[in-house]
Parts: sequence; C-alpha cells; structure tokens
Amino acid sequence: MTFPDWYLKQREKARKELKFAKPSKYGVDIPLQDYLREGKETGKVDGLKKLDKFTQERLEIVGERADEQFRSASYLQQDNLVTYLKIIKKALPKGVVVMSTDEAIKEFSWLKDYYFKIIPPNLNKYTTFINAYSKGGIFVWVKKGVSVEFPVQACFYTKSSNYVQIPHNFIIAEPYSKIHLLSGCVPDKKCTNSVHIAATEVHIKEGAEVSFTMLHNWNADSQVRSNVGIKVEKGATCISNYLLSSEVKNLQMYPTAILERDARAVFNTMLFCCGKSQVDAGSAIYFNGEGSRGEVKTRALILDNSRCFMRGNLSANKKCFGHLECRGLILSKNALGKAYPNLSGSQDAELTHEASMAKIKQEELNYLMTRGFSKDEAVSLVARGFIDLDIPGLPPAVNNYIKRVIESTTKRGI
Amino acid sequence: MQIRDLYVGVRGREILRGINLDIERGERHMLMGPNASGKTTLALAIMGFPQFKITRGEIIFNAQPLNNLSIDKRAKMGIALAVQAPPKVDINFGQFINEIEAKFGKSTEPVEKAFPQEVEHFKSRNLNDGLSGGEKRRSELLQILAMRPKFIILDEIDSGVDIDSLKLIGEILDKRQESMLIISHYRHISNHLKVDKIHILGFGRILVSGSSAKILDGLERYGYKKYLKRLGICKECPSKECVVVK
Repeated sequence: MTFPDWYLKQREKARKELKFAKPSKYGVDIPLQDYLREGKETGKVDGLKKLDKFTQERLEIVGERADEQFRSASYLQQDNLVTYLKIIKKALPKGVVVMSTDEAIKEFSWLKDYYFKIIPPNLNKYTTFINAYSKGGIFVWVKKGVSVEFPVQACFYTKSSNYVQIPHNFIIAEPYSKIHLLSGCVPDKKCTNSVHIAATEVHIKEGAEVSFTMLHNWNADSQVRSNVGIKVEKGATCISNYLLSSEVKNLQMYPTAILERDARAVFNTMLFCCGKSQVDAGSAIYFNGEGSRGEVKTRALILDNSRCFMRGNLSANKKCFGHLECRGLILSKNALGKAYPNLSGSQDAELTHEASMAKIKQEELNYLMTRGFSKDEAVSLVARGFIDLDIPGLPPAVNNYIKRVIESTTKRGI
Repeated sequence: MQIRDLYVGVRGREILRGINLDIERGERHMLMGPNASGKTTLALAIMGFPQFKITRGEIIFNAQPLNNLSIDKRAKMGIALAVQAPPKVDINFGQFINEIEAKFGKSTEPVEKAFPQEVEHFKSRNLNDGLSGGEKRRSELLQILAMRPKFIILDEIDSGVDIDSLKLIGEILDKRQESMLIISHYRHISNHLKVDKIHILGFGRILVSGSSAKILDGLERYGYKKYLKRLGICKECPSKECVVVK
C-alpha cells in the first residue's frame, strides 16, 4: 500500500514551510538540518529476548519487559524502522489495533481527521518538522467499550549517532474503552549527539480512559522535544505519567490536555535533573467543559550543574476544579530550579496552585537519622520519596534503577 | 545508660547544667518537669542532635561514650527516640517501615501487631502527613518498635492522645523489655506502664528523684512550683543535691 495523497501533500507543504517555521517558545534551538534523518539499516527482531543483553537492559530501564509478561502488545522502533511488533493474543482483546503510524495512515483513510488535529502542525519548527519528515510512531486504536488490562509497551530506541528520530504517535480510544500505553525512549549507550523529536496525539472519546506513561532515559548529549496533545471528551479520563531518569543535554516538553464536560486529566511529571541537563518541562490543562477536573503535579530533583524550569498552566472558562503543583528539591549548590505556575480562570472556576523550590530540611534529615539511616541514606530516602510516582505496570527493574541512580547521584549532591 | 555531669547548650544558651542519671538495663524512668525545663533538650542530646552541644560531662551507653557519635550511630547502637513534633517527610510510611526493618532485621514480633488498623491506615500516606496528634504518637511508636531498640526515649508520647489510645500505648510498652526514659507532663501513662523511677527536672538539673508515687501525688496536688518549694527547692535557692523522695 502507498501513502494517501492528503498525507503526501501535507508533508510536501510542511517541507516548504519549514524554512519559515517559528522557533519554539521554550528551550534552546536545535539546528535540525545538522542531523541525519536516515538511520542505520537494522533488520527485524524476532523477539525482545533475542536482542543482545545490553540492549535488553537499556529497554528495561524505560519499562519495557523483554519477557512481555503483563503486557498486551510490544512495539520497538530502532532509529526509523519498526523492528518488532507483537500482539500478545491472550492479553489483547479483539477490537484493539496496534501498528505503526505509517501503516495506519496507509490503511485507514479516516486518520486524516485526526492527523495534527490536536497539536497545531505549525505550532513551532519541531511540529512542522514532524509534519514534514516523521517516520514511524505507534498507532493504538481501541474500539468502543473494549478494555485492555495490561499495558501496550512501545520503545523508541536510537542507535545512530548524529541522528534525529521523528515518530508521530496516536492513541484513539473510542467511547467507554480503556487502555494503558507505556512508552519508553532510550538511545544506545554508544550513540552520540542524537535528537528525538516526537508528536503524540491522544483522542479520548466519551467515557473512555487512557493512561499514558512515558519513561525517558537519555545520554548526556541527547536533545529532546516531545509534543503531546490530548483531547478528553465528555466524561473521559486521561492519566499521564512522565519520568525523566537520566542526564540529558536539553529536553523540552509541554503536554497539553483539552477537557470537555465532566472530563478529567491528571499529569504526573517526575524529573531527575542531573549533570549539565537543561530541562524545560511541565503540563497544561484547558478546562473547556463544565464539571471538568484536572491536576498537574510536577516534581523535580535538581542537582549538579543542571537547570530545571517547571511550567504549569491551568486555563478555565467553565465551572471546573483544577490544581497545579510544581515542586523542586535542590540538592546541589550549583543547581538551578525555577517554577512557572500559571492560572487563568473565569468566576466559576476553582483553580489552586502550590509551588516550592527548596533544599532538604536539616530537621527531616535528623529525624530520619534517628531511625538509623546515615545522612547519605536519609537524603536518598527523601529524594526517592519525593519523586515516587507509583505508576501501575512498571516492572521492578525501573524502580530498582531509579533507586540505584538516586543513591549514587545524591551522594555527590550533598 | 549513664549520664554524668551533663551540660548542654543551644545557640550559646546553657539549658542543662549538671545532669546525672543512671538507667539500668530494663529499667523505666519517668522524667517530668515544667515547660521549658529542658526535658526535650536532654532527649535530643542523648540522641545526638548536633544543635544541642555538650559542653561538659558525658553520656555512656552500654559502656560506650556517645558524645562524639552521630545520630544514626546512636540509633544503630539501639537508642530509639519517639519525637514530640515529628516533621512531615515525603516518604511513604509503609515503605519507610520496610526500610527500617531491612536495616535492623525484621522483628519476630511484627510491628503491625501493635496497631494493625493504624498500619493499614498509615501505609498509603507519607510520613507524618496529615496525622492527628494521637496518630503521630502511634506512628512514632511503630517506627521505633521496628528498630528493635535496646533503649527507648519517649518524648511526650501521651500528648494529644485520647484515654483509650493512652491505655493501649501504655499496655504495649508495659510488655516490652527495653529500658525506657519516658518524658511526660502527666502521670496518666504510669497507670498503664509500670515505672521504676521518677525524676523532676528544673533549673537545668534533676531536682527530685524517687521510686515513690508520692512524687506524682505531690505534683498533682501542689503543682511544680509549690511542690518543689515544699521540698526546699526554689529558683532563688536551688538545692545543690538532688532531693530523694522515698
């Protein structure tokens, strides 16, 4: 099958517009023309367990289970290529379609009505770039009333150096369906100077529930721009979890949800900013429907020489309830954290926020030390507790990894 | 636990001036005294809080001097403190108990047994987050019992606790074998927990000691000021020796 005309025309138009595309409002500018769009030739993978041990370990720390236990489907994209896609028949009920976005565009003509319909394609140069050159991405379509117990796992693995990965993901949850997508992004340890520019559009229809968990673990020279747009229709629910668990050169993301009547959205963002990371992250909710509810919770551990900017925006024009929390825990002298909470609401809206940027209180450390923990252990305990997300479906490997990273890095931060 | 001629200052101000106290293995001592008499200062100095500077004297536990040991080292030796005003910490209570048990070894007598309902109730919460006064006391008790301690310091464990909970706390502690220093303003906990000795702290020293309930009766009847005066102790004329009430 070939790509439909609408898609090819749209790409062609975006390529022309790219020269004039406006830079992103946040984050440093990435000169995209300097990066390769063609990756290494990689053959198909027979199974995640067939990957070498090293790659399996990389996948594990972003939540991917090589044994595929407690998963309903697996998707692996290496550079541009979808190298593995498996439906676990016992776990994935009929009425769920999991495939690559490229294939879905060829197969479903109606996808035109969803394509760049939440995220404006000309939002900034990165969205224009995705519109022009995207490759791959996971497409998940859950039909009406279908509920999937175990998460669909998707991994975006970068192997090539000086390369830009450009997936465009879709989740379309039809009315009263339920699904959890667990998506992990990780480069090969040997991969240098990689860029990941992604778009994810999530359409949650009436009464449906989508959990979307994104785990990122980068190399110190990786650059990341993630664009997530979520439309939550009447009575539907969106739970979005995000964890950054490594150093990254720079990362910017600002997932945004639009809520209709009685819809609900929860954003949990946990940032581990270390080394020389420059992180600009947060979430926004637009309360467009009466009775909608939303919560944005962003927490960051900030240490070494990292810079962390936490943003949050609640904007309401109907009777609704929203809460925004931005909290940073600064563990090093040279680390910098800034919080930008923003609320704008009409008379009926009840919007609240709390923001803090602080170091660990001596009182807390002394208290934990009375329970036999050394100062290092006490700092590590507070740091782990501070970014504890309690995400369902995460394999123990992820929690163990986070524990290890925090223990090793907080020591140097004290 | 032996405390010899202990002087402790906070931010340059001397709070304790010559404390002498011996608590034998398995003994329970109750420390009373008016507000700001230095009871909590003594507890925190025993535990090794750095802002409580020992300027003279020494604290010895199991024949080992504690003066230069950090808080956690003292805790590992078996000293456990239930603090009066525990701070809120971003750690899940259930996970924290697991961490304590991992450090000290799981007790044959699980802590859950002491307060089964509380453990369930606290498990989903962060440490000391949104707890009532009584809940904070029970949370403290659960934590220190998980440490399998040898010496327990209870700083106002009866504060803000209702009658039933106080009875329960007293009965749980009464079954324990550890040595205890129980700091309190009131005698009520001693109705449920057998106490070997009672001390009154004032003017930075232990003014009165004894094993007799007469001390508690006297305090209840006259209050600190009058009772001490009856024993010949007042601010203007502090007796140099501790009065022993038999």
